[in-house]
Amino acid sequence: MKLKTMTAGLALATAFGAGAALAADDTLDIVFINDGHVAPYHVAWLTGFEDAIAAYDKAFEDVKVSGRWLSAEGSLEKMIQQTEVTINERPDVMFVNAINVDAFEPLVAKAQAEGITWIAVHSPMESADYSFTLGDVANGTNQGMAMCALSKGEPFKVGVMLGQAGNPSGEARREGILKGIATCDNVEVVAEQPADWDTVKAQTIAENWFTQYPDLNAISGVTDAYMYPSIAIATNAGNTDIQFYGYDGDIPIIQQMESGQVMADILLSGTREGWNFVQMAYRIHKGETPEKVYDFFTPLVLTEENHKIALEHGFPEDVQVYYVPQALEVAAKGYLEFGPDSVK
Amino acid sequence: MSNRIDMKGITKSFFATKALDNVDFSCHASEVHALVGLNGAGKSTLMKVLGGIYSSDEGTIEVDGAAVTIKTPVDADNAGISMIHQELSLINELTVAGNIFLGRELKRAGTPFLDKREMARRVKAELDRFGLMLDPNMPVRELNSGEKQIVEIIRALMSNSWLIVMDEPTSALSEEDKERLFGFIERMKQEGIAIIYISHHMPEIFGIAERVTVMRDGEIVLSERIAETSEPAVIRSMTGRELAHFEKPHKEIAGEPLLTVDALSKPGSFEDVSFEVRPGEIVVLTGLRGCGAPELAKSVFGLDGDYTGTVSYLGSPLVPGRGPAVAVREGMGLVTENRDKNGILPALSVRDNIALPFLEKALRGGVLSRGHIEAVVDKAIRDTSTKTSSPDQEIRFLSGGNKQKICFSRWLDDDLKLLILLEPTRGIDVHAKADIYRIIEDLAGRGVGVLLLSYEIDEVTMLADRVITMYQGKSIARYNYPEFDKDQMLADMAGARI
Amino acid sequence: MMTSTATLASGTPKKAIDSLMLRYLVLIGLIVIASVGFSIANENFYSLTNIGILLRSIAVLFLLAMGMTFIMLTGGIDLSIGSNVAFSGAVGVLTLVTTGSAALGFATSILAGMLIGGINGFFIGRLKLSPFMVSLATYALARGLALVLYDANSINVDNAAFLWLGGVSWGNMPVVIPFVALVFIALSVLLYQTPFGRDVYAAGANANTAFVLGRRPERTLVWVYVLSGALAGLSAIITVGRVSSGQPWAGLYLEFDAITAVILGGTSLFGGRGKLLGTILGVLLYGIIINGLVLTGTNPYLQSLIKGLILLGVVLLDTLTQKGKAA
Repeated sequence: MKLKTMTAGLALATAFGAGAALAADDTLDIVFINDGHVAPYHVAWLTGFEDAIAAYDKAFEDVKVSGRWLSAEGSLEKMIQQTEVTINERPDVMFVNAINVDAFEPLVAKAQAEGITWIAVHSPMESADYSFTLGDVANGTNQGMAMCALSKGEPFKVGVMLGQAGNPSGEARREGILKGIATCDNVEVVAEQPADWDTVKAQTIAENWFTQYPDLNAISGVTDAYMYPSIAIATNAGNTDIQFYGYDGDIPIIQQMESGQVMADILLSGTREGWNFVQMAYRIHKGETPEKVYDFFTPLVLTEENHKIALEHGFPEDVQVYYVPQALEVAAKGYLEFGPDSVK
Repeated sequence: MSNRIDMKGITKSFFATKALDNVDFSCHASEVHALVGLNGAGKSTLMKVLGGIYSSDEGTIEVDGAAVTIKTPVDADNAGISMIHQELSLINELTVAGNIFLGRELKRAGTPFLDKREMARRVKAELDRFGLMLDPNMPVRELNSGEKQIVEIIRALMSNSWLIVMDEPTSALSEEDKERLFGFIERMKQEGIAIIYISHHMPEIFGIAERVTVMRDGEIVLSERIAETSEPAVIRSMTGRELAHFEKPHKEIAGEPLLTVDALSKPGSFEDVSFEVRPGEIVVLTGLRGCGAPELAKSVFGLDGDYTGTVSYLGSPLVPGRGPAVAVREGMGLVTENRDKNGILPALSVRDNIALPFLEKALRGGVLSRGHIEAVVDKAIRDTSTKTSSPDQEIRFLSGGNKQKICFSRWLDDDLKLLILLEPTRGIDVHAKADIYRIIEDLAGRGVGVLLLSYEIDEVTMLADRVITMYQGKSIARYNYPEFDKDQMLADMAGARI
Repeated sequence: MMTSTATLASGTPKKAIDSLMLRYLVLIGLIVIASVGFSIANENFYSLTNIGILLRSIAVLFLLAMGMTFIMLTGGIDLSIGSNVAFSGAVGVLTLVTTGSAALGFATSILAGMLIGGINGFFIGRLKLSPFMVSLATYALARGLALVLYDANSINVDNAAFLWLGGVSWGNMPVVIPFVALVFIALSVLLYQTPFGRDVYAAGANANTAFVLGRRPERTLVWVYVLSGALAGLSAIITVGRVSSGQPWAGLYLEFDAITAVILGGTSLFGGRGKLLGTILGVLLYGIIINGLVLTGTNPYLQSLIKGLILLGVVLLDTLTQKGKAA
């Protein structure tokens, strides 16, 4: 039985090898090394990436576009090993979502010596060829300011769920949210707690908060992963007044904006980001030079009605906002913004 | 009288080994049929065929003259055949009645609730029928092993068994419980029950059995009515040779005491016990189970420090509860009564099992000398005639007797001065017993002092230079070789005076 | 026919002691099959660079799994080693940063590892608590301490001496590999050639008996956990060298990798049975599979499945050989 598995694995492996051997003259090989692969955002992200690879390969006959992704499952050591193995494989472009950027400095040099374009994901790296960043502080600020405006000057209590301690992305989002909230003085942050990007931990925290602060007005989070359990607990408790401020642009969360209590979200959308990666790699391959620090376009999402209310309560007019229908459309269809048509 | 059970031409092979070769065996109603043989002679295999655990390659089984098929233990149950095993299969947390009715509980009419009162009443009636005193409502946890065995037998009888197979039923019983069991067996005979009785103990067999059958190497070598044979004849047919009667060698015991126990007391275990052990002397503690002797021996060894009084060893008093590590370093050894619990290391090789206590002596330049260990282990195996395919063999694959020899052989070190033995021949066959007796005498001959605990009166008188009888934690009397009065000793143990 | 079964039957008792040998042959077989398979799929597998990467990536696992072997031989388990790598690394790196002395950094890292091991050992050996419970507690404790010490941020390390062991390669050979070999030899001597080593087996096979025979199993347990902690401290130094920084999340999930490798290597979960050689083979097989799955671009969702199947297969194999023995 075990032998059969091995043989199956071999057959699979051989198929991959054969695929590589059939490559066309001009090839673009992209590897994406991520820190995880099971969170809803990760799944959308990796799926978007896979779909984009296939779409680009199909759309352009002169370039053979191939790619794959790896997951370090949260372990820095594993990520370093995967990166080392990948460099040895000499792909054209590597996207690396480093768990800790300092640890990767020696590897960036190694990759560049092999002629690989290194794109640092989320946390910028000076030495990398490019950095693909999210503008986390600015996004967080937008979320915080939206909360200020939608609280309409009333006394307002909020709990903020943070990322894993020490994680740069989480820290930046927190900084932004607090900065946005600080623009008004009626909103009070009554609790802050890290939930380690973990839905289950978020559930426990939300339960505690609802007990501890019965007059809580809102829950803000640095990821939509925290919204699912929080919303469910509030709904089950019959609490229809509490508001939710999300981050990530998960489609099910945006869908709850028109009807429910989700007030604002930041439209990252894993699917979009995956497509954006492949578009960026393709552009570089074709000789374009994007900004060295490339900011992923991540608008604030509100309902049209709420946007109006917000503007009336001092929300800045220059902040770019997508309304729900548009946000849903681009979130699901990464190709609308970043597909092969966008670079033809 | 006609046979109730009749096994004919039973043959059973494992790989190329014939475990049973054309064996005939039968039993009447109201009969105890003793089945004897050394370990590996085939008696267990034969009984497993009868119990449906193995199916035979050839042969037939008839009940009251009609052929039956016994392929599974359930078939055997349905046929009225019950095995009482050495490993008791009762559930400690249930009561006596709860165990007896396990799986076929009585319910109060029309309800799903247990009718505990009726179950207890029926068990009580059955116990009364056999003249047994036992409370049906007592949890089995509180029973001793003799009482547990009775519960198992009653359970079998109450599920309409007419044939009871007992495998070494007395191996874990005190003299008192043995007597009660024999009484019970007599009553069962009167009630028409047939009993197959597997044992090594000649006095038991000649005391209660009507017939005796001896197996050797998978065949029947002797099958006689008890009245027409004798103990020596049975033993001769078991081993194929006459078992040389063990003769205690003559020796002089002299010198300062190795061990002096003075007014040792531990509440609930033993009280004000004093004795000495000199080099080369075999001092035997004996009594009934619960007499406090094992606790006493363990306190001497340092396993238990919760006592008052003094234990002096080699002239200086020992610190109570100092632990076995100190005892071993100073030349004391202990063979425990429970091999599996704290006598052997099952996963380890024979070599490791032997070499463990004196490892530090094998150090050469900071590392263990393999040569030294080999020499010690080879000698230990040879001196105790232990049967093992190699010192690398894991000890768990050895027979009980050979395991016990290893428990001895590990102490055969030149620096050993005092060896404490708790029931050294429990659960092993006659053959291995004789070897163990010889080892004990050899050790004494070398000047090692031996403190031995035994519940078997014949063993006590055979080995001892001095006997101390104990009853309820007190030492009753002491006897010096050769003035041993067995009747008086038994009376001491039972707390009686003749 | 008759004679052949007869030989088989007479050979049966010997088989029992050789079951470990059988396991090692199976492991070697699997290693060969996996290597051949992966090299067919990707010619890079046999490149010296890749072998260097492979060995370096499992260096830490070699050390931790050897420590885990000692512990599992006593019938215990140590879930704290991964967290301990982060904690002892924090102590070492902070010492290095404050004193500037690499030697002091090494020493405090190993001592910090031994401290966590000592806590495990005290509770498990002396107070006789369950190894699973105790090391689950220290698993959380050590990770928490690491986060507090690092203030949840990583610390860059550029001291060449401190980074040497984990970071430097001679050509394609990482210096850590000969070092691991030396540790393997030292631990083999400790396990097979000293009374302590025999006591480790005895404590796992039957601690009651060992106690009666004048050994001190409770003391043995304490030292076994201290040893495992020391190896975690050593692993921390190597990890810091590998990532040229001290990381609060270092060593994540390494305890599971180590336990998997030890079980693959044939060490019994119930103690008393197993050898370091098996663990080495187990780590090697595990490392080759991980490396090969990355090289062949196997879907990460599938990777977990394959790992699980291999482990199940080996457990099944154990059961089958065990049954063969009983017959």
